[in-house]
Amino acid sequence: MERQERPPILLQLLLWLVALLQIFPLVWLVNFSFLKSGEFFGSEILKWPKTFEFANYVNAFTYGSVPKYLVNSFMITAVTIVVAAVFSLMMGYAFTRMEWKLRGLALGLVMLGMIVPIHATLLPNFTLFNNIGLLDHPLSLMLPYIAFSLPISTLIMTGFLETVPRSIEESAVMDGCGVFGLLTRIIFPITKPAIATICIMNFISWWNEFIMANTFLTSDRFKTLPFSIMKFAGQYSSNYGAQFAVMTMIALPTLIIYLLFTEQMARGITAGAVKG
Amino acid sequence: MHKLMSNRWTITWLVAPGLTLFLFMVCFPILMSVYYGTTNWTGLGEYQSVGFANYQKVLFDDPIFWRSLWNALLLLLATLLLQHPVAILFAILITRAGRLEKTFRTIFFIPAVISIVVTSKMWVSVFHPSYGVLNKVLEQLGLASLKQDWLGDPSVAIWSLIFVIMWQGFGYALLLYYAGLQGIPKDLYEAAELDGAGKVTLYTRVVVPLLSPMIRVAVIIAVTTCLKQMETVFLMTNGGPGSTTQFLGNYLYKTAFSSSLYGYGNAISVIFVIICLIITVIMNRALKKDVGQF
Amino acid sequence: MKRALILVMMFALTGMLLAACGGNKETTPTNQPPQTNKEGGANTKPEGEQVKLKFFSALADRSNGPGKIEQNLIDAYMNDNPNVKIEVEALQDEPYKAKMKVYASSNDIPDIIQSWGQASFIKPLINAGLLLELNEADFASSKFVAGATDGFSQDGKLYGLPRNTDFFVVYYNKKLFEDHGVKVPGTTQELKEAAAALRKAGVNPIASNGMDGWSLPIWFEYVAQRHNGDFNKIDAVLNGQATFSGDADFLAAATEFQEFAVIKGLADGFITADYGTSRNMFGQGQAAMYLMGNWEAGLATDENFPEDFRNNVGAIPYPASDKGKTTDVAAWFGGGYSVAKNSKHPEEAVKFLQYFFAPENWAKQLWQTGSGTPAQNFDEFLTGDETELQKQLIGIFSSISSSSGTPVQDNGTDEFKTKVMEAHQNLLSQLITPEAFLKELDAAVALIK
Repeated sequence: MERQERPPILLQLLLWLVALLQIFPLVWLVNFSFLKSGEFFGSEILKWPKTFEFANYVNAFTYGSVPKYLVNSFMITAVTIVVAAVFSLMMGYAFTRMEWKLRGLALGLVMLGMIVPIHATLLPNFTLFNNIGLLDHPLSLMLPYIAFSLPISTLIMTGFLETVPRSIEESAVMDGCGVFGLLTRIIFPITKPAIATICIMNFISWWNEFIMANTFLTSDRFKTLPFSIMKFAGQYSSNYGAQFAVMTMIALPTLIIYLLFTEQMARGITAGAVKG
Repeated sequence: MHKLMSNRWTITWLVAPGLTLFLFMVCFPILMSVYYGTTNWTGLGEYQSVGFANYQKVLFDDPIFWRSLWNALLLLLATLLLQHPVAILFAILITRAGRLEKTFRTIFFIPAVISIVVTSKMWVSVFHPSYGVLNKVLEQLGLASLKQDWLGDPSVAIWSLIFVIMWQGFGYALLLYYAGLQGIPKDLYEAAELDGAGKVTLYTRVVVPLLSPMIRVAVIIAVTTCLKQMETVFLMTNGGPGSTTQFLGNYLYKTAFSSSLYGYGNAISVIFVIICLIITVIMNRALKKDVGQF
Repeated sequence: MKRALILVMMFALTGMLLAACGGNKETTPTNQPPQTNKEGGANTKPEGEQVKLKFFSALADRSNGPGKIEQNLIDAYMNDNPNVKIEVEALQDEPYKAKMKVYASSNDIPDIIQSWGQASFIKPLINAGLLLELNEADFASSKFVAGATDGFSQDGKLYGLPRNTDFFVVYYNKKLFEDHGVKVPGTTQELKEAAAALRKAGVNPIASNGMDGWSLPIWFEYVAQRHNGDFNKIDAVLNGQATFSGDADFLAAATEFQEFAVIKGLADGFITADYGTSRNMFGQGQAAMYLMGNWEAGLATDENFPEDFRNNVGAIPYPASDKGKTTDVAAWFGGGYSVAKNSKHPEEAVKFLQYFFAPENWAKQLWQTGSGTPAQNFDEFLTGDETELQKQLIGIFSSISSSSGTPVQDNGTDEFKTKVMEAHQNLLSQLITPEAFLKELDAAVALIK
C-alpha cells in the first residue's frame, strides 16, 4: 500500500519555500513579542532580543484580561460548532434522504443564506436583540453564529451524503431501525469526515469573528478574544511589545487547538476516503 | 423505506430547529433592512419614509458603491485564476511529499487559523514603506526601483490587499482540495499508471475532473467570501486611500456607523444581498453545466 | 459662530494664568459637601446596595496620560465607595464614535459616556432624549472656565461637562533637526523647506494619523488661515455666505496643503496610520514632527519612548505667514462627559462626576502630570515644575490672539464629517486636484444647509 518514494529535491524546496511564507507571521510575531518597544524600528527582518522581555507577557496577561476572554471565546465557539454540526446533520439528512414537497424550496432558502453578508444583519439584529432583551448575552452571538454556519455546513453535509450509498441504511431499515437510529448509529459515523470539516470551518470563522462580538456584547463579562486585541491595541497603543505578546497569546491557543484537531480530521478524512 | 422517509413528523423535527433559527436570524433581519432602506433614519430618534430614493441613489448615483463592487470582482478574479489553481497544484504536490505530507498540510493551513486582527496588523507592518520587510528585501535584492508605498499608493493598495486576502485564504482552499483528493480511490491512480498514462495526464485528465464536486464547493465559497470581504479591509486600510480599496461590507458599515446614514446603509445592504443572489444564481447555472452530475 | 465665545474664554484663562504667576489667591473652598440633585433627594440608599455604572470612554490608552488619570480617579472612587462598581469600556476616537452610534440606536447608552460639545456629536443625542439634564449648580465648585459648557448646552439646558481645552501645535524632535542641520520652522515657507530637507536626509518629516482623518481638516484650517489671515472665513462658508470654490486664497491653501504630499513632507504610510501608529512613529524618533493637540504633553514623560526622545521633544506653534501669525491658533473645547437619561442610577453617576471634577482631582492631576489643559480653573495647581514641553505649550496657549473654534468637520452631521475628512484624505493621496477638493468641500457643506 505505502508508496514511499522520496520526493524530488526541487519539489521539497518549493514546498518548504511556500511553507516558510505561510509560517513566517508566527515566527515574526513570537520574535517581536520579546522585544522592547523601541527595538521595533530597526532594519532587521527578525531580531534576536538583547534581553527577553517577559514583562510583555506579564503586562498582556494583567491588562489584557486574556484568561477571561479566552474562556468566553471557548464557550461561545464550542456551543456554536456543536449545535451547528448537529443541525446541519439533521437538515442534510432531511434534504438528501427524506421525500417532501417543500424540500427544494427549503434547501434553496438555506443556500441563499450563504450569500447573505453578516454585516447586512448587524444593525437589524441589534435592534432585534435589544427588543427581546438578548443584548449583551452570549446567546446574541451564538444564535447568529449558528444561523450563519448552517448554509455552508448543510451544503457540505448534503454534498457528502449524496456520495454515500443508501444500501446500508436500507438494510438497517429492514432490521427495524428508525430515522433517529439511522442518524445516530449509521449516518453520524459515516459522516464524521464531513462533520470534522464543518467543525473546523466554523471554528475558524467564529473564533476570529469580532464585528458582531464588538456590537452585540456591551459588558466586559462576555467579551471574546479578538476584541481584546482591539481593546489592547487602543489602550496600550504605545507599548508595542505587550501588544505583540497579546497577539501571540491569542494566536497560540488557536494554533494548539488546530494542531490537535488536525489529527482527528486527518483520520476522519482518511476514513472517508476508504469509504468513498 | 419510502414510508419512513416521507413521514412528516420526522421531517419536521429534523428541519424545524435549524430552519427556524435561520429564518429568524438571517431572513427576518433582511426584511427589516428592506424597510429601513426606505427611510432616512440616522440611527437615532424619529425618521420619515423616503420611498425608494435611497435605492435609486445607490444604483445610479454612488460611485463608491460601484467601486466596492469592482474591487470585489478583482478579488474574485484573482482568487479563481491564481489562488485556486495554485491550491489544487499544492494539494497534489503535498500528496507526493511522502513523509512530510502531514507537516506541509499542517503548515499551509496555519495562516487561516490565526485571527485576522493579528495577520492584518502583521501585513501592515510588512508593507510599511520605510520599515516594512518587503521594501527592505527588495532593496537587498537590488530591486529598489520596485519599492512602493504598498498600502498608501492608490493604484497599488488594492493589489496589496488582494494579496493578503489570498494569502490568508490559501490554506482554506488547499484543505478543501486536499480533502477532495483523499476521496479519490487509490486504485484509480494505479489503474491509470497501468494504462501508461503520464503523471501530468493522470492529474489533468483523471484527478482534477474527479475533484469537480469539491471545486464546485470551493468556488461557491470563494464567490461569497470575496463579495463579503470586510475584516481585512476594515483593519488594514478602512477602504482608503480615497475609496480605492473599499468593499461593500466595509462601505455599508462606514455609511451606517461613521456617516450615521442608517437608512442609506440598509439600502446598500439590501442591494448588496440582491447582487450576491444574482451572481450566485449565474455561477450555479454555469457550474452545473461543467460538472454534470452532483 | 462659537469663535466669539472661545475668545472670551481665552482671555479669561490667560488672565487666570497671569494671576497664577503672582502666587495663589485665597484658596476657595474646594470640597463643599456635594449638593444632592433632584433625583438624589431621596438619598436613602441602604448600606451596601450594589451599584454598577457603565463608563464609556474614548481615552483608549489607560496606562498613559489622560486615560491613566481617568482610570486612577475611577479606581480611587470605587475604593472610597465599595458599593459602587464602575465598569470601563475604552476605545480610540473613531471606533468610539462608531460604537456610540450602535448604543444610541438601541436607546441604551452606558451610564456615563464621553461626549464632545460639538454639534456633530452631542446634538443627535440630545434631540433623541438620551442625555440627562445636569444641574449646573451641582458643579459650581468645579470652577469651569467661562464658555466651556456652552457646547454642551442646548436651549439653556446643560447636558455635559467639558474635560479639556484643546489646541493644535507642531511637536518636533530637536535632536533630529540638529543632527541633520535643519532649521526649526518659523514661517510656512520654512516648514515646507524643513520638510523637504528632512526628507532628503532620509528622515520622515511630519507624522500624522491620516487614516483616522480628523486631524487633517484642523491642519487645513491652519494652512487656510495662513493664506487668508482669518479663521472666520471658513465659518462664513459653513454659514452659506461664501463658498470654497472660486476663492483664490482657499485654492492657494489647498495647493500648498497638497504640496506636503507631493514633496513627501508627510511620514511614509501616513494615510494608513492611525493614532497609535503615528504617535509611536514620532515617539520612537522615526519622524521629526508631529501635528497633534496639546493633550500630548505627556510625550515628554511617556516611559515607552526612549529617554533620548523625551529630552528632545518640543512644541512650536504652527508657523506664521505674512497673513497669519503664530498666535492665531486652532483651539476649541474638547471632550467631556454626559450622563444617560435612562441610567438606572443617575444620582450615582452625577455623584461620580462631582468627584471627578472636584478641582483637586481631574484638573489638578491632568495639569500636574502634563497630560493636557483642563477646562477648569487650574491656576492654583501650577507648580513651577512643569516639563519644558508643558511650558512651551502654556506659552502657545497664553499667547493666543485668535482661535479657530470647533474643528470644521464637527460643525455638522456625521455625513458631513465623513465627506470633509475624505476630501482631505483624497487631496493628500493626490487622488484629486485642489480645485476638486474645494468642490468636494462645498458639496459637503451643501449637506448641512
